[in-house]
Amino acid sequence: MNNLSRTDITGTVLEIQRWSVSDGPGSRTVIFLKGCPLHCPWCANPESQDRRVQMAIFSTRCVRCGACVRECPENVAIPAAEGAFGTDNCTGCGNCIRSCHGGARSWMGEEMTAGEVVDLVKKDMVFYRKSSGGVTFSGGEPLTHPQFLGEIINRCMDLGIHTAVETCGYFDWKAAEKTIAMLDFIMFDLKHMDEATHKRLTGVSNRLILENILKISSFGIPMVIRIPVIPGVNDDEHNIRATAVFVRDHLPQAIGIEALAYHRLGVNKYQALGIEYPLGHIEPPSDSRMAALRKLITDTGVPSITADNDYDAQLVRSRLKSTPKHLTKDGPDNAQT
Amino acid sequence: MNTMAAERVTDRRQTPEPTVSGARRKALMEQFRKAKPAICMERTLAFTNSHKQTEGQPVILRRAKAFRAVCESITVRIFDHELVVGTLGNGHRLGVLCPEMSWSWLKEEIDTITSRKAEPYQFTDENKKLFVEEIVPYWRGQSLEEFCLERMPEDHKNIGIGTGIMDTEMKWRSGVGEITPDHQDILFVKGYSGIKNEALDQLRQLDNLSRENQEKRDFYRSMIEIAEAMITLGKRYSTLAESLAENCSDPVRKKELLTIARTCSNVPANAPASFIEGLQMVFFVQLGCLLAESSPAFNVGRFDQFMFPLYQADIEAGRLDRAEALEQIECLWIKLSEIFWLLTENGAKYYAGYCGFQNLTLGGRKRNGRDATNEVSYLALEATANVGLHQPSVSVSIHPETPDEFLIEVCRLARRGNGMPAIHNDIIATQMMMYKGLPPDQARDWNGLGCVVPSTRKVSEWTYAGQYNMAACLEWALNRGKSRKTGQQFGLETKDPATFTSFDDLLESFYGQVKKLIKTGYETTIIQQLVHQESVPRPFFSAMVEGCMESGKDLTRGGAKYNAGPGWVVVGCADTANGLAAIKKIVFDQKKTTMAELCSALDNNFEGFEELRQLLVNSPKFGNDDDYVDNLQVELADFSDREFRQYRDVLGLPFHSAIMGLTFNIPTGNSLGALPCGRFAGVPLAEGSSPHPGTDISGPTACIKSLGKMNHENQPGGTLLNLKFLPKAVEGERGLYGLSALIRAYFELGGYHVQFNVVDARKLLDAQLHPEKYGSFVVRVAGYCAIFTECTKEVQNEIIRRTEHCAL
Repeated sequence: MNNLSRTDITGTVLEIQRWSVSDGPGSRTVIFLKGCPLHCPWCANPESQDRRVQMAIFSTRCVRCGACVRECPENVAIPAAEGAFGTDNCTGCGNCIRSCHGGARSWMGEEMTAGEVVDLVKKDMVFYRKSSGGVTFSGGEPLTHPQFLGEIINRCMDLGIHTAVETCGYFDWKAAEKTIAMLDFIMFDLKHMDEATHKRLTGVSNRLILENILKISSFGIPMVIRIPVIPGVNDDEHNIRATAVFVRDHLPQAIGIEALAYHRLGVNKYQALGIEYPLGHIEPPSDSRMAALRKLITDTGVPSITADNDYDAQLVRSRLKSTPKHLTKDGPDNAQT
Repeated sequence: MNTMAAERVTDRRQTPEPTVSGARRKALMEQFRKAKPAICMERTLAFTNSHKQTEGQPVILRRAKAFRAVCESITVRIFDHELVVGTLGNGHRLGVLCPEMSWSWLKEEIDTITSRKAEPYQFTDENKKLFVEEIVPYWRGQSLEEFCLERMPEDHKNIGIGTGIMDTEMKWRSGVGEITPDHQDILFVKGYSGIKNEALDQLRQLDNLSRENQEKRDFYRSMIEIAEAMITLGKRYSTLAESLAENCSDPVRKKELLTIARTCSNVPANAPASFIEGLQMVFFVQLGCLLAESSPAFNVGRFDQFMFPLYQADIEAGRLDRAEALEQIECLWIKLSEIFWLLTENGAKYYAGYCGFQNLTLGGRKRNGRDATNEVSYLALEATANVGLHQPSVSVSIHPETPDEFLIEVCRLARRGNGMPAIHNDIIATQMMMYKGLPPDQARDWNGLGCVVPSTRKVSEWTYAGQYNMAACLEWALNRGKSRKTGQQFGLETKDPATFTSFDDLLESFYGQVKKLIKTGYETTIIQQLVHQESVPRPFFSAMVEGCMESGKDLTRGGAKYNAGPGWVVVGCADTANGLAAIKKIVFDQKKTTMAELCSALDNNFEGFEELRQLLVNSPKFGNDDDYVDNLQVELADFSDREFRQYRDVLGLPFHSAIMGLTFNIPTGNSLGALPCGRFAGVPLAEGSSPHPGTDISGPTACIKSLGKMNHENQPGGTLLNLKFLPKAVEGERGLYGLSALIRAYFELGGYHVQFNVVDARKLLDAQLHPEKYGSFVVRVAGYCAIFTECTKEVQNEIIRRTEHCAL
């Protein structure tokens, strides 16, 4: 916890959400970092894609007091009720946000130091202790911020806080390698096994992703593979089975596959950003469809992880059995028993 | 983590197929649903007629004889399918009027009682006539209410009646209630025959008739009347069951009726000898409580503790299997749901929902400090899930060695969305009981009372003497003691707020107002305690609390082995803390406005001051793990404790404070103008020690951290935290572990009580619009549960308004 000896690196944090039971083992604080190399049309956090800080507008909170108009040095601000004013002449001074009485505008994203992030994470220590929980880094793609992330994880290690990431797998291995080695748990997304389809859906090839997942696997960190199930997009049986086979044959460290049903809870965020929601026509998959896909996974010989078979217990067991990597990093192997 | 197996009993019979189908439960629930709550005059009439014949006798003896007359004459009924029997008259859901406590309210409401908005009751014309012609003339000038009001000074009445500022109606219009029968050491050991024999013995031992002994003699004679009354009630049911059996053509039902006959011939006269007899004993005692003084909070107590030995014996002897035991418990649960506390229209605003507040506690520790969870604890949770009605109010007591398995079952029940059970921290409850004056082993044997109060069968107390509106004190500090709504001078004429130059100036005026209001509350309680001692002694209850038989003294005179001082409930604590924090921040730290402008905004209910209101709304709010405001909340709660603690009641015991709930926050909010936290005039206040609805926006852990900063152990009348979750946030086994970890964490932080409403706001809105679709859809109101569609619209809105926590 020696803050003085370390440079306090900053990063762009989108949001810090306290208490989640579905982003890793136990109760977790989730740190959303901004910036993602993928652009999936089903993304529930569109505000996380751009690495820059953005402005969100909540028109219903606007009281039309005109404070933003008065305070804007460039004369571009208009009451939030009338919508966004574009970024052409905006210098991003933030006067309109600070002067707003109703909180109708806010920055999406904030420059924070690693120390500030850890101070917030520390607030929920008692909840991690009671649930074998910890902190989860999400995004955006957290591993595109390897230094910032590394610094936070380092400090968490000092405090004995369990760390996890949710990653899309698309990142520079060399830059992220050391940071990954310090992690306790990884949730890795495999959105599609076919390279061309993957590129069509997300904007990037899956080659780097598959390379990275094999490298991560060699580290021996417990891992869950996640498939966001988007009806008509990637939920064909062929893709699900291909994913399961890949996991079975190449990822011995994975404790299973978690199929996550597509949901539309991000719709409001698209509105706040002033973008049209790209998947307006797709309905979330039915419970029976999800059950069928999960059966496909287990039939392939890979455990299916759901909200019902908590991976917590498995993880706690695995943690008890093997000494976490980071505890042995400076000492000889098996120095004590 | 402790996964030590609790006391579990294996079902020896190993029945290949379930012996019980659930059909009985369905049939009984159907009967319950069809029955409309009604006012019954049987007890009222018998009680009154007895009093006509006992003029001039000692009050305690008159009350005991009247009780006996009631038990000898009220209708006894056994309904189809029932295994546990007993009614308060001729019907299912009957409200008992106690005219010796108060009759005037019913006279005033006689034309509206069947149609009023909150909790209407059926009341036949015949009964109305009887009430006006027979009951009212006899009790005019003779009721608790009239005695209390006659003694209360005008000032106390002006501020304490129907104002939403202070309320003690429950103690001047109703019996005390708030008691737990000592099943473990008295009723399940000796029955009422044993009580009668002890009283006879004590009478024999009185060697001279000194003044003191004369009083004892009156007391013991009363005990004998009470015991005879209960024994008679049991015998009448036994006789009825026998005659019903004789005429019953269905051999299965005939056998059941004969069992009922046998059961009622043994209890409540003697100690119960089987599981079903234990259940029947519990229900007879609950009926006795209601017939003695129709009040709230007659608690069942630690059900799993006193029922387990009977369960174990029956199972081991092969007389009972687990499924049968479960069905029998369900039968008791449905009977307990029939019981409710007859309310005035004003009362219905505070305690909405046809509720009896019969608390029943599971889990916890034994007196030796070891875990007390057993098989009956699990059965009781299961029965609660199966029945899904609003009674009994199931509380669970959780300590570090509570098996995880039990806590998970508790969470599973909580997640059903009915708001049961109330989850309590055993360690803090024990500390609260010690603060009330009990030794550690007695304190550990605590049980829940009413909504969320820790109490025990060994103690006599007024856990809820009244409640006061702390936010009113803030209003007065900002308006020189005047109500913003009515202009009345309720508080002290403190300094003009425009002249405040520091936050301390504000605090000084504010605390001055609180001190004065608390003093008024204390004085009001003393008056009421004196009147209770003189006019409504409690012979029925004295028979079931240790110490009275030994001392020959009634509960109201301090006869119990342990007595605790009266508790007063703080309402609007979070609104006050938020208001103070907002002023501190906006006026004194940031100097964005002046006291004068702020007061003018409050005077105008923020009309024309929306910009200022937004500044206030966006200042720190309790419930977000922000010390800026959380420290104020802690200070307010501690102040309330210190202030009450200096006063002594009629038995010389210290008053104490509580921050719990019921639905006090609605009428108290209605009485106030705009508040500096940015809340508009008339809006309900925060509930118990919970954050103000909608202002805890940092997730449940932040909310729990804020609550955890408070010193719960010095609020021994209870604190209350309501957390609402969307079903999605707590789905799957993960959700259960998540909830259980939240509970463990809150309790490690020193929190006392938490309850969950796991229900989608959309479902609640739909139930509001289409009540017919939802039937007996039970939700947690505030420390207790009620049927959602039977709540007033205001209460329904309040439930909908609470912050939903959802992690997606």
